[in-house]
Amino acid sequence: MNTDKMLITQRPWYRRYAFKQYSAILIVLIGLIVIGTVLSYQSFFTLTNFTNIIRQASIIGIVVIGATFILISGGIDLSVGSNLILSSCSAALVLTQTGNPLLAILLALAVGTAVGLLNGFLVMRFKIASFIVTLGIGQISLGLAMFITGNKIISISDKVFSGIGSSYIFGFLPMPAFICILVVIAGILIEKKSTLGRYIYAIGGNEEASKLSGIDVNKFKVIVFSMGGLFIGLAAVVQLGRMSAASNQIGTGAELEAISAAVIGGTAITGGYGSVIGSIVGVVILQILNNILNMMNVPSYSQLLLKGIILIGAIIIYQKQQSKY
Amino acid sequence: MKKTILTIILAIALCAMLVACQAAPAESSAPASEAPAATSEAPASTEAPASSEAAMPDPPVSIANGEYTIGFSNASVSNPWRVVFTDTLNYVAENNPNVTLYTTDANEDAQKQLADCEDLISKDIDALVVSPAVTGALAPVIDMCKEKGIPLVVVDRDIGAEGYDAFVRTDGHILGEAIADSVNNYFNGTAKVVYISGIAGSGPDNERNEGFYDQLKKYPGIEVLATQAADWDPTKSLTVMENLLQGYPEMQGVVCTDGTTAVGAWQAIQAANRTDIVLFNMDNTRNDSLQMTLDGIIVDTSVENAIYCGAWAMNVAIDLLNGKTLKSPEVMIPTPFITKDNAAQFMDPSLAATDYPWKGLYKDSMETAYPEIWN
Repeated sequence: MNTDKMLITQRPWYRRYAFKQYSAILIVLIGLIVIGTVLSYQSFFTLTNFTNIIRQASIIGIVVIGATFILISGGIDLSVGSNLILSSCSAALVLTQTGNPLLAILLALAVGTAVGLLNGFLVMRFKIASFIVTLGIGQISLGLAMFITGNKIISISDKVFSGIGSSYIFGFLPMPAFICILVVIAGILIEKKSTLGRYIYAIGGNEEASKLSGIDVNKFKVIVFSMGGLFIGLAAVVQLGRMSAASNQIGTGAELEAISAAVIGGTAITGGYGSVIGSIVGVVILQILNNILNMMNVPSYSQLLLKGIILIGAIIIYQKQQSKY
Repeated sequence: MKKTILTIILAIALCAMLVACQAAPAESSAPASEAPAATSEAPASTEAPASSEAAMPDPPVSIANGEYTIGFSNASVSNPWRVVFTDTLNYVAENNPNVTLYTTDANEDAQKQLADCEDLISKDIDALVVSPAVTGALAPVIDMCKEKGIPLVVVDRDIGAEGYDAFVRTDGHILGEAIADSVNNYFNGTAKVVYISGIAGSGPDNERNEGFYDQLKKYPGIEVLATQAADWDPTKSLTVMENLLQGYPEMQGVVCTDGTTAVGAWQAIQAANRTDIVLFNMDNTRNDSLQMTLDGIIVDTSVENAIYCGAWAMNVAIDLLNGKTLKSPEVMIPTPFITKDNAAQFMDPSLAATDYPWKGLYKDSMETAYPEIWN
């Protein structure tokens, strides 16, 4: 049927804009699964393997939701990795000293949000580009983490945290993946159903116009960075549960992974475009790629090469797509 | 729209084909062909894999009694030492036609390594060999291996928890202690030295530092003027040494914690015309630092983290699968003391200066120490 002249709400569900927007990335995802199955059938297409993949993708999955909103709003957060490290190290220290898991979880969330808040505040107050601010805050956070841990690794052993890292819900769903799914749902609600979401897109699309139309750009910038920080704190809790250890080496590079996943998922670095679903699919795509290359015994420098190629390819394709709008 | 989807699919298919073509030869044994360090050098090595069924390769390896699949989760191949370390592992696999080796490499990322181990275990391997990127972050792997009932061999760096079947390495404390003794003997009890350490926070670095400083407590006359970290990198140690020479001109000796550090430090010393300064070294497997020992520039080294611990780990895994039992899960590789007198037998002049000649030491260790670890 010719849906071009219908209103979006009149179209059947498979012809709505939303689906069309995601179709490219979903095709890539399905394509990868097909390739993986073809290349190493017995190891790839098993429940264990898929469970592994979604469990492995969860930590960056949680982080990427916050990172996506920051990117959509026109900013960028390069302090993600260091924030993850600082939050997880603080939580681990508190846990080893007090033995109270709840306190550790709250501290991780608090530290993550605090760093995010600091990022947002500096961007808003001094009008410095978020690139520079987050770069600097990232160094500070990392240095702070090295200081509080004495450059040593903090191992923890706590039932709540190991439950978070390795238990299963409904029998088959790993807990980290479950938490990630909850965050994704929250992200989708914010993106599509809330004023916050719409304002974030507006600010990213055209900051001047947003300001002139009455949106408190400053307030929302601080909010979006703090929200990113909160999600990082949550990811730190999951990471601590999964690794049973925190140190200044566990979590480095997370910002690059998150931004790559977001870009592959359709988020524009310049702001204004992007989606939570696209980003989470981007994370899963990267993780499946990792998995396939591991299954095929490919050394890790080839994996780096491939990720870089795909990242650039994705940007070029999305740019071509956007120029049609 | 259709064109873009087509482009994406074609791009991914192209990448997949490139990767598949490269990975195909690697399926039979881990990608040894990428290693720039030559492992097929002249002295006493018949590496024809086909003939290993008839004759034991030289240096020897453990031969598998059945068809085994072994997974190896490497921390990284981010420096030449690790490349040769991985080669020693591949050497055992290549000379064992019944063994299939799956290798993953985590680029020093603890989370990737955890994911790598999960992936390897889900491939139904018979044994797992791990060189942890970050000590203490891979405790879940021990539980995973117990669940699956497969032996876990930890090599090179500490996994930071109990429950493995074997931990193959040398204890860095021995090195530190031996060199502390050496410094004391050379200077007859009174000296001012500086100490250049390695990658802060890593197992070997901690052990060597601890061993050295603990032993040094016995020698109150030896004063350590300064300690700096050079990450076992010759470029960094050059800079560090230059700064130390500037700041502490009264130093008489330098204690280096590995051969590459000594090479960099010596360059700085020569440039500053301070060749009166004596070097001590803890870990000396490179051709050029062995040469320096031969020339008398480096006084005494004890060899640690024997680069062939990879081969030992594979041999241990194979023998564990063959049904043998270990006397103790702590498998210590011997630490020979290298001086001017015996450095020559460990060198291999046919290799480049920056290469690691490991076969001589490996063969020695397999003939003397290896049979002792089993019941």
